[in-house]
Amino acid sequence: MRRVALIAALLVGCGGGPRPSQPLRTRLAADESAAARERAPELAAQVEAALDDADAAAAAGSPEAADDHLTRARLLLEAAQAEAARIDDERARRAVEEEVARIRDRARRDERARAALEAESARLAASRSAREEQLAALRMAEEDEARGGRRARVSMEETADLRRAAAALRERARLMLGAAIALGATEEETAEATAAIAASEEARTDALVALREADRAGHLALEALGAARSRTEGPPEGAGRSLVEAATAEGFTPVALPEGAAVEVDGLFAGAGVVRGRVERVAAFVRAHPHGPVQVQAQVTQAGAAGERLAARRAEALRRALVGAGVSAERLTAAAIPTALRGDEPREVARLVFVAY
Amino acid sequence: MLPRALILVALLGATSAASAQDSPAPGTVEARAEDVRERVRRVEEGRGSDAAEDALGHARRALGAARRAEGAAADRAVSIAEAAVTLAERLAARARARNGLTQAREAKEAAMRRAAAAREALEHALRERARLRQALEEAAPPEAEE
Repeated sequence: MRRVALIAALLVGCGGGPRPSQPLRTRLAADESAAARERAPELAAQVEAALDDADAAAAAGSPEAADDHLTRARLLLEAAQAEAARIDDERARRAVEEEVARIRDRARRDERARAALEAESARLAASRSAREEQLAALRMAEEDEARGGRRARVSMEETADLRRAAAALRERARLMLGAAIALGATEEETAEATAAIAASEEARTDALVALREADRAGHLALEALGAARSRTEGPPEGAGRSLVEAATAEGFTPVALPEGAAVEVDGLFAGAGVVRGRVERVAAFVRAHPHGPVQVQAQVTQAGAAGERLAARRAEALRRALVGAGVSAERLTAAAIPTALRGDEPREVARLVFVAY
Repeated sequence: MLPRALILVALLGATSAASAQDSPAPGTVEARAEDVRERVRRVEEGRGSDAAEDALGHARRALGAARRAEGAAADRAVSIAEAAVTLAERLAARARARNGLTQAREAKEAAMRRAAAAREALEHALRERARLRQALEEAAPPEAEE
């Protein structure tokens, strides 16, 4: 039927009369409709069919019907153009979403790299802190080695420095021995270091000998600690790094010490006691790192024997509070940070040394 | 017993016959108009209908014209209504696609801001590590003299 109408329309067209569909046919063929023809071919075909119907109706002398068909063709052409635009928008959206995914991937990579760098920086900072703490004493020991036979030229001031350095090295050796004993070192393993500490203390008149013995005691204590660690089932690989990261995240200060990985916590003490609210966080941190003994230490700004007694009381108070907060008492020992290791700028601080890490 | 079953079957048959009479035969002007009304309703209730308001109005007017007309005129009016609702459907779909594109562009803006912040933080972390490494090297104990 439609074919007959089309033939009639063509015959009319051949007769020379203008076809009513021509403006819309021109619009359909124009560049503006190229996307519609390509992306919505079914609708474009419906447009052409409606235009054919319009021509046939005009040829049959029914202008009202021709107008209706033209209206239908115009609506369908607009629908085809809308469909083409929709497809374009969908493609653009997919392209943008792919780009967003790439950008987010890159941001995630950068964020992971930054986290790794910050963890490394925390470790570097901890290493630096510990190294600086020991550096003065070690440098003195090395200078003493280099000085050799020039002992007679050691001044009184130098002698005082040497004695302070020897005291610092002895205290450090004692802390390492304590860690080794906590990890199960035998008396035989610690005997030589203990003897070297005693020899250093006895050499009161000769500061250089005292320093040399203290240095030797440190090396021997470190060996004993290493031997004890080698027999102990320690934390898994990478646990030390995670301890540093967790400490940083909690706002604690990680410190790398010869006797183990340590964290320092400020604002934990009030008088000779502890601030309960903060103890819970510290206890959770200790429970989260369950391997091996933990030395609970305290340091105060007050100098002298009174200061050391206060530091010892605070360390003991913190140990008890941690036990009260659920940390196994068997893991914990308490001690003041020795005066000789306080450094030039002592702080009110608690220190927890994880000797197995 | 048997008569009751027969009555039930007869009632069911009558009901289905009545239902068949209610819905127009497929392909008729009435059936096509009903189909258009249903499509109009779906577009009105879906997202993006604002963009299709003119086309929906055109479809409603054409349906009204079809109801008033008869024969070929009614058929043409329903065809116009079909074309109008097709346009309404495509315009609503296009509006949804445009909205999705806008959201994707906004997500891209946010992702770029996050990426820029992440890169800046990374560069800062790199500088900080370099500074600490240098400080650590400077703090290292001097080589022992022979």
